[in-house]
Amino acid sequence: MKSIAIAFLVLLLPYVTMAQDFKWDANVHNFQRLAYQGNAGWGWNGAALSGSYFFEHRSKTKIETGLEYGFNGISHYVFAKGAYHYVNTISDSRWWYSAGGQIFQGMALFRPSPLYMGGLGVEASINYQLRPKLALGLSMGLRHYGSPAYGKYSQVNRFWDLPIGLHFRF
Amino acid sequence: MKIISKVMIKQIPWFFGMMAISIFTACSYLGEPLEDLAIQNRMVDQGDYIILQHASVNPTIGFVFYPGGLVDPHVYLCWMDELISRNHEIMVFSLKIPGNLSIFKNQHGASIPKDYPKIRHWLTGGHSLGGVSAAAMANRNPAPFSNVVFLGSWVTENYTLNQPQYRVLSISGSRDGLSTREKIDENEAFSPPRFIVTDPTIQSGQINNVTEFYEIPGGNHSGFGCYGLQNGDNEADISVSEQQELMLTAILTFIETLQP
Repeated sequence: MKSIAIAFLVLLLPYVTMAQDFKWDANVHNFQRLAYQGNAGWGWNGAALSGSYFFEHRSKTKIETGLEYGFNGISHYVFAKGAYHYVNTISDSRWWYSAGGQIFQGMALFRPSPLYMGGLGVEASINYQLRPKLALGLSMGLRHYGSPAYGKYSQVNRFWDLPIGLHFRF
Repeated sequence: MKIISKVMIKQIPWFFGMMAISIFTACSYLGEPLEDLAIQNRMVDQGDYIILQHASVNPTIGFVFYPGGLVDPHVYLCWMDELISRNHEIMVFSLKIPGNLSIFKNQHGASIPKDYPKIRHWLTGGHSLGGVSAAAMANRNPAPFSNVVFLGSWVTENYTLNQPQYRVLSISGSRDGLSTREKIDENEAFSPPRFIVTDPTIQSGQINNVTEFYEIPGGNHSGFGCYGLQNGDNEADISVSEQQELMLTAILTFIETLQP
């Protein structure tokens, strides 16, 4: 539990330390399973909602931190999410795209006690600036996650998913 | 657009509030570690479902089982292992559904018979909310799923089974605090005519168009799995193993007379 608490604190640190301008992002994800425990296996594997914010690191890179709640092949879960994105605007248009890597730290929500769950991912998105302060985007990525402790209860505790997302940034 | 942005920003606390409520309420019940059950060599996790099968026999009876809502599918392995040990012809398919909510995928088991053509008899069933999903699948797939087993569950109006081809075994517990006798009785009309069984070794003698209803004296809702006491349930008057012994006897009696 201590490691989970530390992960949350680290990932949420920018909320209290950053004073610069940032953008909120609300995201809905659908997960398609690609593989589990080293076996290929296509199928629907859950969905998630996330809320996060982006703040500028350099002119073309942004850091994202946030929370994600959803359900997947293991259980319902909550993740603290951190990501680093490369962002590029397509010249003379309202279109821009981004690509980046993500880290997830959190827990699978079980009774009587939750189990640690973590993962890594990559994601690319294409976005359209609807208004100066509102953009709509579609994203697709690859995510690997697992819960080592769940391996005591199940033969399958690791998954590769294809997350497909729709997000608003404002 | 500024107004929309302001409204959206105002919704952020609600978003996180709803998230917090969902997090609090959406924890799945987890059972015992697999090593305590010692069944690793009789089970295979296929990603979409867990298969339990006795190694020495080619099974001829397939039991597709939907776990209860927010209950990890492994909590039923404790009695499923005993089921296949007592009747080696049975192969159990315990379905795995994202978020442990079978309502998201109530036709999940419908494709399994195609992959196992050697199995001659099929039945489906479920615990609690899983029973509702099993009824939904049986309603749409009467062939091959005309035999249905409910554990602390019932048929709803949307997926009735009150047609002559169905045979239902409904097992409840007299101390069930969630699927109470009143709720089951209210939905009786959506199942075939009821035949009340007071001894789990007794059956109606009919091979279809019947609901064999057996209430386990002193049994509760949580006793249909191995995961402790569920919120809202009553303490049972009998042990989990006693409840599951009676439940298994009723299921095995039901299976003995499957339609050829």
